[in-house]
Amino acid sequence: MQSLDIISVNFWQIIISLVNLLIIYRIMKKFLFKPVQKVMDTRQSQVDRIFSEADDSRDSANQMKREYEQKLAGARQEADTMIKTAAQTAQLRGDQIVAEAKEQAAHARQKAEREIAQQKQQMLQDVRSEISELAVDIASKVVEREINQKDYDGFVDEFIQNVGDPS
Amino acid sequence: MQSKRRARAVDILLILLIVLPLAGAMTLKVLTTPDAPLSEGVQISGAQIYFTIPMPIQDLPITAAQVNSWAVILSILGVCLYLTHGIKVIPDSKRQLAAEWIVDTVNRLVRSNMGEKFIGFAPFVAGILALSALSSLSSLLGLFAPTSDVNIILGWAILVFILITHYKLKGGLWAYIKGFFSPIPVFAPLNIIGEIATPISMSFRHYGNVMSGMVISTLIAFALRSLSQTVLGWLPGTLGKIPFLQVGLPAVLSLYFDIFSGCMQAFIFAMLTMMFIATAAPEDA
Amino acid sequence: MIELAIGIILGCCAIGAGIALIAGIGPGIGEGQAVAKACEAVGRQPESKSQVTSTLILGCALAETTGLYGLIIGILLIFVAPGSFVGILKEAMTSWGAGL
Repeated sequence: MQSLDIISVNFWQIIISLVNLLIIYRIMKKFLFKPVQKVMDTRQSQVDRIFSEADDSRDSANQMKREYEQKLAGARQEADTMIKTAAQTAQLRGDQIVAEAKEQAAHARQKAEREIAQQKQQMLQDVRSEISELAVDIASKVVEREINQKDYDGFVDEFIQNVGDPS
Repeated sequence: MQSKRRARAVDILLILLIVLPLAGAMTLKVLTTPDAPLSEGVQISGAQIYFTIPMPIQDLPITAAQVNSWAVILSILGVCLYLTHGIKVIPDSKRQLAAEWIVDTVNRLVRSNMGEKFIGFAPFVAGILALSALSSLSSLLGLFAPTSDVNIILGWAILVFILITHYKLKGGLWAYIKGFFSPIPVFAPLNIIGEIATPISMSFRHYGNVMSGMVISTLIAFALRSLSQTVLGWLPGTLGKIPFLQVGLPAVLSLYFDIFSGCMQAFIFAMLTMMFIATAAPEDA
Repeated sequence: MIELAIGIILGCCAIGAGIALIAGIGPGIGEGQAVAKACEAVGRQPESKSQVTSTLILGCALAETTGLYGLIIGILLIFVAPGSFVGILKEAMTSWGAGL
């Protein structure tokens, strides 16, 4: 069996080995790099999608939370306002009621006073007329004489004046 | 179940595709190696010639180096198919992780040395690394390492040289020619020699390393064989013919010359390829 | 006569190979300096040890090239050149003898 010299250059062998390297480049590209790169890209895009989805959902959750907080704060404020308003209204109403009551009471008292005064007047009137009648009766009975009506009237008037004076 | 069985069958076929070419090359070597008697002395020679094809310029000898490199290429094809077979988006096998690690590492290497625009060179660099390293490592199987044949490496280096020139010509023909006359026209011959020296130095660096390792291994193995015959030759029968002293020391040597040196040279060849091509390309292209 | 010529060829090839391997001095010195500087660098910045080591190995492998050229020449002179020189010599002798 023949052997080459330890260093011998052959044109065709060089060409063949050059083509061999090109072939191995094609093999590497087609059978190793392309499928692996494809799978890695797919995974990368999936991971990106998952991350972006997670980001989105987190954002929306945050936004919802913020909205809820806002709403809650609004509701609390509203409740506060309502309570305050109610208290104010109640206060107002109470005041009004008290004022009305006072007014009514005053009214009633005034009325009562007026009535009392009226009744007093009426009573005085009644008493006066009764007394005058009584006096006339008494006088006619006691004196038993004809008394001049004119004198009598003056006498009664003077009497009533003395009686009716409240002081 | 059916698909699983089919996947396993494909796996076995691909493993056979990895193993069979190398086994075939080994068988061919065992069948054709003449049983050289010890008295002939040490023979340091290149690859065996299996047969010769007549060709126009120069006859083409089909040598052990050629056959072994084809075997290595087939094995690499098998490895690629095996690694990427049944590849999924969510990795569930170690071999897919290995494939992704390889692709990622080579991509990072290319990106850090050549820049993002040369990322298309990643398969080429991976091809150089795999072919060169596995060719050198094939000597562990007792094969003639294709990388210790100067023709093989010279072919790769010339391809790299073509790529370098291609990228230099992208900056314009006139700039390329003017590059030879810089800094002063007197330097033109030196520049041309320097240009031609690139593939020669690249190929001789790789070839010289692997070949010197092979030569030293052969010499040591021969010396140990003779020593063994001298010291242990008195043993009866075939026992005396077995070179016992060849066990041990050649393994340590092969650790350096075959594994370390081979992988190192493959890495250096790939690094130089990347650097030359990256520096040859015009800046703005 | 021809034995003497072959002897001279073999001896000169061996001497030439020995001289060619002087080329190993250069890479030896260069790699030694590179390793020394790498040691200094690691001493100064121990955290960058891995980078320094990889750069060092790459640089050493590059610096080894010139030595390898010498080695290739030496191997050629020992294993290839004597055979071809002796063949040329024998051819010349036979043609010279035939011419006589």
